[in-house]
Amino acid sequence: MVRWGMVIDLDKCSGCQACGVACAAESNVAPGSPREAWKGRLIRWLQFLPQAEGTYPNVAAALQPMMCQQCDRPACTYVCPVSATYPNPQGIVAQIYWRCIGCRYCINACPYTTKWFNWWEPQWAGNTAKATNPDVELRQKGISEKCLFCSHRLQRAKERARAERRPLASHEYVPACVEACPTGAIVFGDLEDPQSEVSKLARSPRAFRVLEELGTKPKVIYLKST
Amino acid sequence: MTHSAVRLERKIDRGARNLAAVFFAVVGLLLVFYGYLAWRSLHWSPLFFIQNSDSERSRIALSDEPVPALETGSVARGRDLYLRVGCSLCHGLEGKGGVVNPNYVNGTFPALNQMAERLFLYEREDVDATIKVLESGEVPEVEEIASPRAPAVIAQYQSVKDVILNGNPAGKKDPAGVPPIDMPDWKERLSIRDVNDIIAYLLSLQTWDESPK
Amino acid sequence: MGRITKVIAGWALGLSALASCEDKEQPIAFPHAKHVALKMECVSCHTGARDQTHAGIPWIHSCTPCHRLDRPFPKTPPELLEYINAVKEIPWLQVHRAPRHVYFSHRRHVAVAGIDCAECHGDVQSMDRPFSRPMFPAGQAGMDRCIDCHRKERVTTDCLACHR
Repeated sequence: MVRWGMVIDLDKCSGCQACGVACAAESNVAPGSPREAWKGRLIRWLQFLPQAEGTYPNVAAALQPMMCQQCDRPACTYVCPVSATYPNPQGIVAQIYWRCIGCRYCINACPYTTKWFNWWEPQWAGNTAKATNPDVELRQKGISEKCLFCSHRLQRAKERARAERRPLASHEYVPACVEACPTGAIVFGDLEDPQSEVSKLARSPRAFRVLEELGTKPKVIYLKST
Repeated sequence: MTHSAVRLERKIDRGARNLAAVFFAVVGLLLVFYGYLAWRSLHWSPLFFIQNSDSERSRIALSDEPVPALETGSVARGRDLYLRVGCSLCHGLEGKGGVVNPNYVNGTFPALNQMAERLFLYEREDVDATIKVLESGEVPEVEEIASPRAPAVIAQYQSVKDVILNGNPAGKKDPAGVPPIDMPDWKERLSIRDVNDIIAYLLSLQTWDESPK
Repeated sequence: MGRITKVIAGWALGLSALASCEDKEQPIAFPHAKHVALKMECVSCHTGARDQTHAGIPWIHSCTPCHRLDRPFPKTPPELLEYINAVKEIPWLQVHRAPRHVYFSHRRHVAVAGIDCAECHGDVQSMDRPFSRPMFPAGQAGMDRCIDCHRKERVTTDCLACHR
């Protein structure tokens, strides 16, 4: 069985934030209003953590892309009273918008704060709502959302492959952030396959996971910048 | 002041008592609920519900095989037109025919998946070459084609194109019976390029028994 | 006693009215049976059934090639001829509609799984009146039918597969 995972090389990452833009465009994440920003409630499935090492003038700064870590032991799923979020057989932590009751237990439970709650109805200026990705649900006020590793892309690719009676090729399914990255810093693939690039990079000596000590076993692995 | 032996009547503040009872009841219920959630999170997961039916059919096996590119070109456009414009209504999907035309001489609408043979093209290379010509949109002069069958091929192509554009009445099996459904004229809905695309698609449908003799 | 019977009668009438409210009247009494009898394929009118998510309701041009002439065969009702001559779309009422929170791909079920149309849409070849009510009940009961077949065929019952 596949287990989808991601490796982000912080050396190669230039902090351009193209991945964040691609994610918002692909997953219908509304830009947000000034009121939401003022209240600190903007939703960005892929956010950037500024990391700075050293003191001025010898500062090494980086922007670490942070999206749902798709944990193998996801804290958010343990607290959901209605099982709107759960780990699916392929390792993606699913979020079913229509089942969510908006209790926000998952938002609180996530140690990475990569789950987002729609405090207000998402606003789409003009008729930009018509330019949204039809494969991805438009969320309403009162439900939680998060990065799903673009599982709608997997669905499309798998359907096409099955209809053409051929196996799925590994490069056919890449999330939007992986596709957009200009430096190839984000690598995506099957962690169960020891020969895949993702698995090899995950075993690199530079590899680390965020908040590993909590035991969430995230499937987003970072490579320390040198 | 004299203290008379008055039994102190404890006036129970019912309002406060009820409020306290409600408060502790709610807190208690919430704790029971949280306890249940905690127990459930350790002992149940939607995975129990969905995992049992995961089988070979749902399994994803990744491969490194090259993915065939999305088809473009005359045959792809022709395939799309054939289905969407309405040819398949009478001539069947993939031109296999079988649709009944009451009182028509042949009983059913003609099948169109033997078009290559109708155009005197008997080999895969000839079909591919003809499709290329159709795609380019310029029917070459007869003298330019090396094959001796070229005039016949071109004449057949013109005849097929004419039938598509201008229609063709259908022959009656029983002269006294109801008239069968004719081939309608499509010149108002299809351009020459569309017709060429459809013919290219129909040519591509031809199959021969290509086993080595 | 009289009052009770009146109340019961009132409820019965009211409820039956509600139930028949479900029925939709199509603009033309299209008979699937007559068309299937000619061995026409479902996909030639519902062109998306094999390679798209939505199967689609046929446009007026699906009727035109055979019905454009007013002949004894095929019998063309005058309303249909009006639509054909005006090249106007027949306002079919969509009866089968997956709810908003469900992703149902026809391609997946027809081209990949190879399910025959009649298995879900009923015995279409004997239907001489158009669909007036959906074959699938709404709500939870509707999902039961899907899950039953998914379990039997041993394909995915992952929520994310359909409720993406």
